[in-house]
Amino acid sequence: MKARNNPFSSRNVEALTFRHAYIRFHEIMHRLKNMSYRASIIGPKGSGKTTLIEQIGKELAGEGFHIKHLCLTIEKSKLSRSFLRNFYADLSPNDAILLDGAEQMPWLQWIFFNLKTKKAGALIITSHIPGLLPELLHTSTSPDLLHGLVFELLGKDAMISRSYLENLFFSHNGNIRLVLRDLYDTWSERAV
Amino acid sequence: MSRFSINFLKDNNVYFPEEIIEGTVSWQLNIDPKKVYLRLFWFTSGKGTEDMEVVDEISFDNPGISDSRPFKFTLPNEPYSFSGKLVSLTWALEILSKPGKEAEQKEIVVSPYGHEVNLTKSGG
Repeated sequence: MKARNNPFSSRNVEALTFRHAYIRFHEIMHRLKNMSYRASIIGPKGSGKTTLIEQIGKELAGEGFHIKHLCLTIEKSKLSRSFLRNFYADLSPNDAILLDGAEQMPWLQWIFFNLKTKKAGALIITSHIPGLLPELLHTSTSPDLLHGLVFELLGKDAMISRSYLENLFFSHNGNIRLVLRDLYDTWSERAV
Repeated sequence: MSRFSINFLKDNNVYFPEEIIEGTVSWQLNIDPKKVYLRLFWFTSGKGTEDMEVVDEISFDNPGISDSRPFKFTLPNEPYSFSGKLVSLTWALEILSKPGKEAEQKEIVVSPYGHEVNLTKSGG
């Protein structure tokens, strides 16, 4: 199958909206507002933290915030001093900072980051570990969540069994991102 | 609801590198636009992170709420449209107005072979 036709392409996967078993998106936004827009999204890998922070970013942009999106990974776990100096200097109450992968930031840098970004209108972070900022939401996954996402990507008439998806879910320790990549590979071998 | 359309002078949407794309765009909007833009761009889709580049852009001045304008782009000589199992590269034109959130996209093929390069057989 050609990459562009693959239902599990990153384009399609990234278009999926965040979902949670007990709370709706507008309730999350309401909760965020009550937390004065400084909060963390906690959860394991592949549980929708990035999806949620990006969706929150779009919502805040719609409310008039200027979005500043930062992303830290194992490979790039620190922001340079010169970058941060300019970053802090430019901040205003109209800015909403989204920091994906905050647990990667060295502790000392985090302490300064937390202090210096108080003049921004919003700071939302994702992290695998709690304790950096008050918790907005703890993301989690389930076979039901995976099932719903896969059927959204494939359509209602999809020929894929629930047990097959459950096996994939548990073999990837509930990391839905990895499951969807696995499904991409399976679909890429198909003829059509 | 706003409506856009992109019509090409050529019957099919297959172009050679460096060929000129000509056509007409038209729109019927709900509110008076300040600007209407037509973009020529390519994007990748597949397993990894997407890549995208706007190659050229036309900005239509003094656009009416319902209007039609001719356009002309000269394609660069690369990249070609291609598709493998891991990644596809697609060329497209997109029209959008500001203010407004709606847009219309039309895909084209850019290739010296008259069709997109198919890498799926070699495992692309």
